[in-house]
Amino acid sequence: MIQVLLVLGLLLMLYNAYSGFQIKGKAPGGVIGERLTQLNLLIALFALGYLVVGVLTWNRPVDTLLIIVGLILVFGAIFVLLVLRLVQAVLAALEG
Amino acid sequence: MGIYRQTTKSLDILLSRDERLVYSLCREAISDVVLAQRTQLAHEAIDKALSTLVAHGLIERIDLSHDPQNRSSNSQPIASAPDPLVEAKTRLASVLTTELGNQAAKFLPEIESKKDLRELEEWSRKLILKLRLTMSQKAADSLEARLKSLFT
Repeated sequence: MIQVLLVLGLLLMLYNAYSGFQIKGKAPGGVIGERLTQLNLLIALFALGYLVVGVLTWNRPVDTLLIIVGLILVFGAIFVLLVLRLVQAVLAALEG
Repeated sequence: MGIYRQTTKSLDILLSRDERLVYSLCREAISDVVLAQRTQLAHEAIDKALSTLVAHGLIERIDLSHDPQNRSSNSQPIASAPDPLVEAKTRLASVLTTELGNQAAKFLPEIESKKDLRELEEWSRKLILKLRLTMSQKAADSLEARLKSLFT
């Protein structure tokens, strides 16, 4: 269970990192461009964090606390995904 | 005094800042005197930019006595009878070129497509927002300050 959550979170975060760098290409500067630079750096750090947590807890017995941590991590990745979608929508509106 | 305008040759070489500014202003036929006023460059700098652009075939000197379009208004240079929309488009293009350099090229066709001053002003305001959010806050601030004088 916990492994599934961590792998799901990691995959989502990797996708977020890919999307983040793609969006950054559309907004190289300005307010959005500057914030995206910081956001992308944090996404990369979080993706690394998912990997580290996964490695450290891989053989540990599953308990409630670990499942809660896994859920928080997955929903964190979903949150970042939604933020990036919002930025994409703002950029699309500016283009239109 | 000479009147210059852009030729149909596409811009495929790197120009200096002064040359770029002069080139963008030459979209409409314009005299070197008006060019000096608008760019606030020294006459030597204008002459140098003009001769470089002419040498590259990017602009041409118009002979008013042989240009049927201008024969009737021979005594008056074309640039001195300004259409407000053309004037605004020219100034906006030069402001953009000054602020954004080569990146301004992608906005020039959009400027040309505007049919009236109101549409141009509205588009300019949106462009400021777009610049502020996605390109450069500094350029957006500078453009906003210059646009105030352009549309008031």
